Amino acid sequence: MADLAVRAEGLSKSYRIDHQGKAGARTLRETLVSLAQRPLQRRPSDRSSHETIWALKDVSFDVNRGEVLGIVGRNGSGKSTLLKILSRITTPTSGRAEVVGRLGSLLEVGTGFHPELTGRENIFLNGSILGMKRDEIKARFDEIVAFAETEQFLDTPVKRYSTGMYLRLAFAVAAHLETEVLIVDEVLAVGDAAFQQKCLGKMSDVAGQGRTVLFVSHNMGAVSQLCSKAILMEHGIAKAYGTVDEIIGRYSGKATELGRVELANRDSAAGTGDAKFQWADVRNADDASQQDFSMGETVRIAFGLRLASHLPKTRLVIAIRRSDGTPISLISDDDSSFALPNDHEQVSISADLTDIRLYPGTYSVSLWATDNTNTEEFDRVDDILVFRIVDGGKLTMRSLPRHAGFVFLTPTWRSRPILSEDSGIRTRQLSGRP
Amino acid sequence: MRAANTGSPPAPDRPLPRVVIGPRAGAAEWLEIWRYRDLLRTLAERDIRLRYRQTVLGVFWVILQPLASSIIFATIFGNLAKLPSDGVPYLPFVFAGLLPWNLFAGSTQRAGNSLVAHAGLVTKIYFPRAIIPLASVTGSLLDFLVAGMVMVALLLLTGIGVGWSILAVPALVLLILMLAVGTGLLFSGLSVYFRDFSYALPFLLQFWMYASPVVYASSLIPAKYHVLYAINPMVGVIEGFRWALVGGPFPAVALIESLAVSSVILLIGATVFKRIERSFADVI
Repeated sequence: MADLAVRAEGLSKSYRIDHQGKAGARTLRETLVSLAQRPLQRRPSDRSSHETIWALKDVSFDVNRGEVLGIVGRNGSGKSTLLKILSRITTPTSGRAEVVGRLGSLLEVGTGFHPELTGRENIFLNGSILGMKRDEIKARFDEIVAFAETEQFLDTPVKRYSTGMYLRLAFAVAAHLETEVLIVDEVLAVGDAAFQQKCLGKMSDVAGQGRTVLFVSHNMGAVSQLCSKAILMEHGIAKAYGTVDEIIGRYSGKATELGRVELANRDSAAGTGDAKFQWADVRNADDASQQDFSMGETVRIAFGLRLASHLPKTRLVIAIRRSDGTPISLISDDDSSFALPNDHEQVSISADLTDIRLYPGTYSVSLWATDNTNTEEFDRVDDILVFRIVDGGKLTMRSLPRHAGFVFLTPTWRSRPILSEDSGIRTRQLSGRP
Repeated sequence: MRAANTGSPPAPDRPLPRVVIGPRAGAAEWLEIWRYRDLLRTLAERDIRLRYRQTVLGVFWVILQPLASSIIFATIFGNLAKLPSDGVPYLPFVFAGLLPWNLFAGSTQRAGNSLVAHAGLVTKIYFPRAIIPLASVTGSLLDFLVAGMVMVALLLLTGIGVGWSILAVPALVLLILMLAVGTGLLFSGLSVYFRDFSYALPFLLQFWMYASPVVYASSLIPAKYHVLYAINPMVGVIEGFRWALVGGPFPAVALIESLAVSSVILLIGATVFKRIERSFADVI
């Protein structure tokens, strides 16, 4: 049904590493020596001084036209190698890939920028390096300059630019690349927060135009904002493929399993241990373990706590974060009439989030126990629980857009007819202006 | 934000190009150079712009360099060593030899180092790799044009004048470019793997210059060795320039040899380059 834009089939890439630690250029002498020795060796490839490293192993996936795919993984997991193969910078050792449509790749902002050239010259240079035709660049020139906000420095060599200006100009050129398939690596990791947001907005526009984007970033907020699906890379292997929330959850190494988490026998690094979490669980209103909830349902956070005898008042905090790390809520028992009894050593506590109104997505729960004044930390477990809010349920009939907001509010709507003789409402006269 | 923009993908009005990526090179990749001609032009332009930026004398250096070396050669080889110049005043004689030689040596030298110098591009962006050495060769043409005007001035000043034979110069330039592209592709590609080639190239060019009739007339070589001598493709080219500019015999045999050898070098350079091109990004 949907058109295929990118297909990877069993892509693999190996590098040969010399044990002297040189991966690339050998000297001519070494090669001549090894050529001279070769007739004497039955199998030169068996030489023990080399080692084959698989940067990428048997990676397959399909991306449909108009899809925005996130590629996440730690450094050295093969993300960049994958992008380099798809951008044709390097070739796979085996496997094949197919790209339908013109492909543009931004593995770095400002590739080919030359410090001695002026802003104007660099726009043309960088644009043609990225694969734009001169006429295309000319047609978009004003747009690029306006986006970069560097009009008055167009004829200044970029070596005199501030870092911010340089990066803005570089991104502006890249952002105006109009190919059907776009590969983007980490370019958003530059510039100040405001400019990053502007870049992200531009990338959203690109994604919204129905173009195919493969997006690699360590910024999970950006990935979850832009992408619908994602691949998790680990040691050169595509470890998982799924919705962006699932993949980010797995990447962040947070708990993803359903059910009660035992905490009694962990090595507690945090806190004094005067209070200790024993277990934790996410449950529904019937007290059964559950992970997926619809809006309007009750999410019950339950946990067991062991208290040292004669402990003064203990304060409990539940922190909820979205899968990209955005804090959603910091709940403290201080803000309620609840008081933790201190006459038992072991207590089971639950906090019901009734009528939950969080947007669909994956959320993590952290638990803290501190003293009354928040100066001493008794115990703390980060991102120990995970629950998901899924589409549907009694409140909404439609699928909610993922990043249009955080909280689903249902105001009471009212209307009242305004009759023509009702002169109670008048536009205010502006004074002081002609 | 995203939801508001999600429209249907734009319908392609023509079939989209389909690129297959695999361990083996696909066919028709030389044709891609034509599709990337804008990049070739921009890179060549950049080379030229950068060469004399932030210099006071600017383009004057282009004139000064060949003129100064001609005067030095004229003094040393013409006046002191009294090398033969076939009856032509030594200065225009040696300038007519340096003109093609500098085009060849300059563009080969620049092309030979070009890939390593542009490692940042090679590892970050795809384009036909041959664009980089080709742009270096193209960028050297400006120097040649400026020096060519000095040549014309020199011909007029010394009373030799300009004849119709000057119209053969573009054809000879094409021959030089063929040779320079072949040598440049070979050396730029090999120096990605072995930097030794970047160091060897200046030496090679220096030897090559003295093996070519730049500072002396080829009449210095005994006639029976002339066919052997002209295997050096620059012999035919330089003799051709002398014939076109300052007069002399038309080097028919030497030019045929030059064309044949240049074609072979171009073929070798292009073949080797093509074979090793695909792993440039891994080893550079």
